[in-house]
Amino acid sequence: MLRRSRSAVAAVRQAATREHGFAVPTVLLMLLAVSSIVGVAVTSAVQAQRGTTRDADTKLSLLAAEAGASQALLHYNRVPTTPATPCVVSSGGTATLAATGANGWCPTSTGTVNSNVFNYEVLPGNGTIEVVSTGKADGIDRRIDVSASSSSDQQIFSEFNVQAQDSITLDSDASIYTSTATDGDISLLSNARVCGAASVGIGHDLTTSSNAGWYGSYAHPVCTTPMDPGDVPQEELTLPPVNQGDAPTNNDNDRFFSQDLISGNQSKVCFDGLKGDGSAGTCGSRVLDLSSNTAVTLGGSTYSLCRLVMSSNTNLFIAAGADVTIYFDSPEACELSASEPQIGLDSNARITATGGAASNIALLFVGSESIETTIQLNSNTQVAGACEQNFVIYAPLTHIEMDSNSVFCGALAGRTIHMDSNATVFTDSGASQFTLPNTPPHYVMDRFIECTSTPAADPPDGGC
Amino acid sequence: MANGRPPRRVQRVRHEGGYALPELLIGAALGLAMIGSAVALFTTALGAEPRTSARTADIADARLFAESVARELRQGRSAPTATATDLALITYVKRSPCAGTAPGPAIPCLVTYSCEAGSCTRAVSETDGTGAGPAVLMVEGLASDQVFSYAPDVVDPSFIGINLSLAAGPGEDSITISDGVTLRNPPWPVES
Repeated sequence: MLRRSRSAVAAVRQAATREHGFAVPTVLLMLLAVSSIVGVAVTSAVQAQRGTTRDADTKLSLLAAEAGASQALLHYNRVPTTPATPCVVSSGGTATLAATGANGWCPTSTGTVNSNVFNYEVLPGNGTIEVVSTGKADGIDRRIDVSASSSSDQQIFSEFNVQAQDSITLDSDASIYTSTATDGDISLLSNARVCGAASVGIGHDLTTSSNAGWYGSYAHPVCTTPMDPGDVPQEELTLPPVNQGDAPTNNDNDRFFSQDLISGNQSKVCFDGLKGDGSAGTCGSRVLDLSSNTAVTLGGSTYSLCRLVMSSNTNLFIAAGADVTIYFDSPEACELSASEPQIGLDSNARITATGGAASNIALLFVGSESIETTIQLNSNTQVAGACEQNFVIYAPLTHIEMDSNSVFCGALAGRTIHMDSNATVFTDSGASQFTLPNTPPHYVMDRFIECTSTPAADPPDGGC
Repeated sequence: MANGRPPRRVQRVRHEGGYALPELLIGAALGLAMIGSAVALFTTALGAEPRTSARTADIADARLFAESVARELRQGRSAPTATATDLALITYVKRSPCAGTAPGPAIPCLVTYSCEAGSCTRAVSETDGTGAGPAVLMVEGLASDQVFSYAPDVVDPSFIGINLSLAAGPGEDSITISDGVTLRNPPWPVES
């Protein structure tokens, strides 16, 4: 027993004096510690990277959604629809016509952009479309809601007979005796008056100063019901652009002056570089220039002009019972500068009907976003002065200037309207019913809204 | 036991060997160094944590602010006030009324951003300025109040940029968060 005990003690002593190591556990512990530190760093980096990737995906999905909305507008501007099949459905690069579903929405269209998927649904309306487009990128969805409108075949003046996209300014006894609306401000100065319903843009005002006033109604010749400018309603107003279609090439311009005859001195009227007597004139391409007691009577249906210049007691007559549409082409196509008004009426010039049956005349201006275009009515000029015709000027990109006792009767729409020095606008009963030509629609976006990523419920624009 | 070898248990103890003093000392030193480093690191981190947290929160707030401004700009209609420090924007807000808290359909409202003394606030009102809600602090810790930029000009901007520079503390790098948006909703009449 004693011997056994001695040998056990010796074994322990031997083990304690041996130099077998602690290195492996030490290294393992250190590796564990280093791994932990590296692990924390890697986790942080991955999380940061995940955030960056998600940010990129949210932008890509928005891009895809916008691509879908753009494609929808492109298709609806290019593919003619029918009342029975008002939908243009796109899938796999093919666009087909289809009917709406029970909820009034079109079947879903799909597409891809840069490997990201989009799909969209369209709610077609009367001159409007609403597009709800969803873009997807790496599991991130974003939805947008885009509304667009077209002037084609629309009764633009059904609610307001005088409209301006940016602003309306009346000065020095100028008066509007009909309903008036703008997407900007209405400013009434120096005895100016608006007599009729009025509306300004969201966040904009109707202001009056120096005896100017807004009246709620008009009973010839008195404006009644003074209104508080602070009560003017605010509404969005969008004037869709003019689509002139093939009017620049397919028109009745060749009626000048063989069928649309000149009254007065033939040499005082010029169109497209030629005077009425056949000699060379100084007027430019598609410019109709009347001067010195002359008149021209229009009997065609569609004309395409760059400019109309009238002065010194000239008259442009519309044949009785005729429906005349005059398109004024863009300043780019006409090579006009900003200083050249597309209509310049001066010194007792008049545009009017010859009498008899009611006539319809529309002066439609394509205008330009980059080159300023203007309409100038000056010095006792009259447009439909007898106020018996359905007379319309629709110029959503053009500035309208009325000055010096100029009178306009009908419906009027421009980018801005400025009236001065006793300029007056009346209206007739038919102007508000005027329907713009049924050219192929050209939809232009007028509202963009971002929606929740998934619709709250049917219809597709839920959550927008 | 008959062959004179120690029992198996004793053999196992002998195989496991012992702790050489140098190894023990080195191991202890390394362990102490690691523990010391860890404690120092932990102490430093603990001391810097409030500042780091605040800066992280500022960065997160700035990113959120940039994103929310970009979203409202994207669906904005016009910018009646457009300066480097202040932006009043008529845009669509999904509230009814504008300054309310109840969700509703998207309606035009006036959203005003004001940046002053390194902080930016956001206030919402009706488009005519009535019914204004309180100004809510959106982001702070900015090195500059010059947050907004406009192109082509401040009168009729079609593009609005956002530039958020976060002030750098001791030993920190300055951080700038930039974004910009082309306004989507035409047209853009601006009050003169």
